[in-house]
Amino acid sequence: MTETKKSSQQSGQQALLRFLDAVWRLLTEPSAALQGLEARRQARVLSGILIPLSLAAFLGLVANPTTPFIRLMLILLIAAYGLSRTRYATLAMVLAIAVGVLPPAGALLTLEGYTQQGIILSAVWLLIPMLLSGILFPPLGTVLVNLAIVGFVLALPALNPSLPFSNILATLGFLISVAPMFLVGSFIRRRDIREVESVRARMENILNTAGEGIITVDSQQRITLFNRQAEELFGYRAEEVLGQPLSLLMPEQFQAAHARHVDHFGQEEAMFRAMGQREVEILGRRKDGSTFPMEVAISKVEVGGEINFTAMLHDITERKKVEEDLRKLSRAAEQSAVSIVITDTSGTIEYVNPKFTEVTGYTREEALGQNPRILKSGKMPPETYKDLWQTITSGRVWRGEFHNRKKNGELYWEAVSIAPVLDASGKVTHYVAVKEDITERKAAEERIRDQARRLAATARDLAIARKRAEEANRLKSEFLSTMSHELRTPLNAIIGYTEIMLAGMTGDLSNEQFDYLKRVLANGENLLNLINNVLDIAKIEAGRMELVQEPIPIRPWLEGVTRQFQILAEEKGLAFTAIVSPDMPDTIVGDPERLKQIATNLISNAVKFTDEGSINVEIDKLADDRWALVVSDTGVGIPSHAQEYIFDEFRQADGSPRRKYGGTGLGLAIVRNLALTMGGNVRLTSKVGEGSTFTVILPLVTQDMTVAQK
Amino acid sequence: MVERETSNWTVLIVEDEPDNLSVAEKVLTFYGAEVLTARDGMEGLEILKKVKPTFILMDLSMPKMDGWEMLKAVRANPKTAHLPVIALTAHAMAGDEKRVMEAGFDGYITKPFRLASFMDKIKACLHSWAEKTLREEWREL
Repeated sequence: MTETKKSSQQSGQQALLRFLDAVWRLLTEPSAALQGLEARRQARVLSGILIPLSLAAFLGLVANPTTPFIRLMLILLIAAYGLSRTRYATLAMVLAIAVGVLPPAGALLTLEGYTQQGIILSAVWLLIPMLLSGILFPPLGTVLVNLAIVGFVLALPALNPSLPFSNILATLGFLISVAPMFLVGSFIRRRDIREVESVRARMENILNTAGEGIITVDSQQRITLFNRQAEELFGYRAEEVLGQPLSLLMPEQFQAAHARHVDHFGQEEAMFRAMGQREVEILGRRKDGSTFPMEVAISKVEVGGEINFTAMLHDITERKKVEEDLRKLSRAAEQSAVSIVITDTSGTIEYVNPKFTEVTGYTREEALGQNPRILKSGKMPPETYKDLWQTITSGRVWRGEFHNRKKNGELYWEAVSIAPVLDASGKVTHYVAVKEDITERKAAEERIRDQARRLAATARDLAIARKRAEEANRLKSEFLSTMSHELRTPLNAIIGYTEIMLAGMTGDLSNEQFDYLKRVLANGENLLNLINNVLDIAKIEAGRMELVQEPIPIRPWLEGVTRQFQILAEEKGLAFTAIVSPDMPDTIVGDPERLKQIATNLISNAVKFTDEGSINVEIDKLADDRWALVVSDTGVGIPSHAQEYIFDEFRQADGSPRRKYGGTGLGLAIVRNLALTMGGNVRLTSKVGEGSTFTVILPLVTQDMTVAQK
Repeated sequence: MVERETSNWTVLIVEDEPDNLSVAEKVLTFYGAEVLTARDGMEGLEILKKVKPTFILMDLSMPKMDGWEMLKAVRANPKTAHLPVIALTAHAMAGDEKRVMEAGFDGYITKPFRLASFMDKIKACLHSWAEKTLREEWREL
C-alpha cells in the first residue's frame, strides 16, 4: 500500500519535473546543460534561479525602488548572483532584465498600498519556491510549505507600507518564506558533500583494492591519481608522482611515441574499437629505472571541458613469461616430429599438430571437435581402449600401440603415450596424446621376424639336406664297397682258374689254349684295374678318400715303386732312371699308397706310350716347402689341344692310341684328383713325337713339422 | 712244386662261394696241403671240433655265420683260440685291411688273389703269427 502511494507520488513528481524540465529548456535554450541532469541538481538550479527572483520581488516591495539607481542596483545584484553561478549566467541576466527593465513588472513593483493584484503576485512569487521545494524534497515538503504559508502571512502587512512595522514584518515574512530555500540548499549541499565523500571513499577503496594499477592524468599529462596498486607497480608513492608528468613512468625511448599517441588518442581509440581491442601492451618504468611489460586500458574522460585520461594497467611480466613458455611449447608441438593430440575430458579433440595432419590425412579443421575414435581401425581389441580409459581417468599415463586407420583407409601402427593434464586442484582437464608412427618399424620388425623364420626354416632344410647328403654319401660308400666286393668275387674265380691252368696244375696246355688263357688273364687284370680306378674316382668324388699321414722313407719308397717298371721298360729296350734329389729329406710325411698310385699311373703311362728312348723319374725339392715328382718320357707326346682334357675321366689323347695302348682312361684323372686332394696339382708339358713331362707338385711335410704341430 | 712246408699243412677253408672255394682248394692242394672246406661259419666250427688245422683261410661275407662271428667263436674257444686265421676277402677298399687286422685276424689277403703272391702271403702271415705267438709265450714265461 505504502509502496503504491510512494510510487504514485514519485510518478507525480516525475511528471512535474518533466514539465519544469520542458519549461527550463524553453528558457535556457540553447543551453543543454540541464539535459540529463539528476532531479537533485535540477532542484539546485531551480533554487539558484528562484532565490534571486524572490529577493528581487522583496526588494521591489520593501524598498520601493522607484529611482533608476535602485533599479540598476537591483539588476546588478541579480546579475551578480546569476554570474556567481557561472553555468546559469545567461538565465540570470535574462531574469535581471525582466525584473529591472520590463515596465509591467516595474509598474507592479512601484504600486503604493495594497492592490489585489500585488497581493496575489507577491503570493505567487513567494509561494512558487516554497511549493517547488516541498514537491522536490518530499521529506521536507510539508514543513517547507507550512513555513512558506507562515512567511506569506507575515509578509502580507509589508504589502501596505503604511502599517506599523510593516517593513520589519515583511522582512521577517520574507525570511521565513525564503529560509527553507537556504535550508534546502544547504541540506542538499551537505548531502552532496557526504555523498561525494562517501563516493570518493568508495572509489578510493575500489581503486586501492582493484587488482589493477589506476592512474589518471589531466589534460597536461600530469598525474592526478595514483592508486596503491600503481604504487606497488612503479615503486613510487602517490605523493611522489602526483602532479608529475606521466613521462616519469615511461622508458625514455617510448616517451616521444607516447606524446604522439596522446595527440591521436581519438583516432586510435576508434581504431582499437574497430579492431575489437582497447588494450595496449607497453613498457613501464619503475622508480629504480627497471622496466616491465604492462597491459594498459585507457579511457578518456572529459571533466569541465578538460580532457582527462584514466589508465588501468597491470604488470604482465608473469603472463608474458607464461605466454612465452606457451609460445615455445606451442612451437614445439607444431614442429614436433610426432603427432600430438589434445582432447578435453570427454575425448573431444581440441588441438592437433601438423604431424597429426600429415600422418592421418585429417586436416586440423576436420579433426577438431571430433573424437580420436575416428582413427579406429577395428583391429584393436576392446580391452585396449578399456585399459586406456581406466588408466588415464585415474590420472596416470597410458602407453601402448594402436593399429589405426588413416583418412584414406590405409592402416598404420603408432606408439601412443596418453597423459592427463591436471589443474591446480588435481582435476583432469585435458588429455594429451603423443603418438609416433611406427608402421615402418613394425614392418621392419615383421621383416626381421620373417627373415628369422625363413633362416630357421633354411637352417632346418640345410640340416635335413646335410643329413640326407650324409645318408646319401653313406649309401654311396656302402654301394661302392658292395660293388667292389661283388666285382672282385667273380674276378677271383676268373683269374684264379686261369692262373691254375696257366700254372699247369690241370695238366699240359696246347699253345693255343695257353695263349687264350693268357688273354683271359690279361683281360681279367684290365678289368681289375678298371674296377680299382673307377672305385678310386668314385671315392675321391664322394669325398670318401681318406689320406693317411705317415712317414715315408722317400728313397726306398721310390725304389719300390719303380722296380717293376724298370723291368718292364728294359724289356721294351728303354733307358730308365729314378733319382731323388739330394735336397730332399730322407723321410717325408704322407700317404704312401696314394703317392704310389700317382707314381705308378704316371710311370706306367710313360712306359706304355714310349717305344724308344728313355723314361726318367725324378723327385726334387722346390722352394716354399714343396716337392715335385717328375715323370718324363720320349714317347708319342700329347697334342696341345688334348692337353686341356687329358686329365678328364675316360679321356685319352685321341681314339687310336687308346686302342693301341689300352688302359682305362682314368689314370690321369686319378692322378689329378689325388694331387688336388693332397693340396697340390699336376702339370704337363708335351710335344707330339718328342715326349711328355708330367710334374706333380705337392706340399712337403716332414716329420719335424708334424712333431712341431703336435 | 710240392714243398715240405706246405705238404704238412692242414688248411680249413671257410667260403660260401663254390668257385672261390674251389680255386683256393685247388691251389693249396696243388702245393700239397690237406684241405678241409666249410660253406659257412657254422660248418667251420663243426669241423674245428674234430680237426685242428694248421691255419684257417676264411671269407668274411657268408650266410648263417660270417667270418667276423666265426673268428670270435674261434678266439672264444681255448682249444682254437691260438689258431692262425687269415682273411681271404673281396673287401679291398681302403680301411678294410685295418678293420680286419684290428678284429684279430692274423692275415689279410684280397681277392682276386694272384697265384704268384698267394702262397708267399700265406707264409708271411704264418711267420708273423709265429713271431707274435713266440713273443706272447716269452712274455708269459
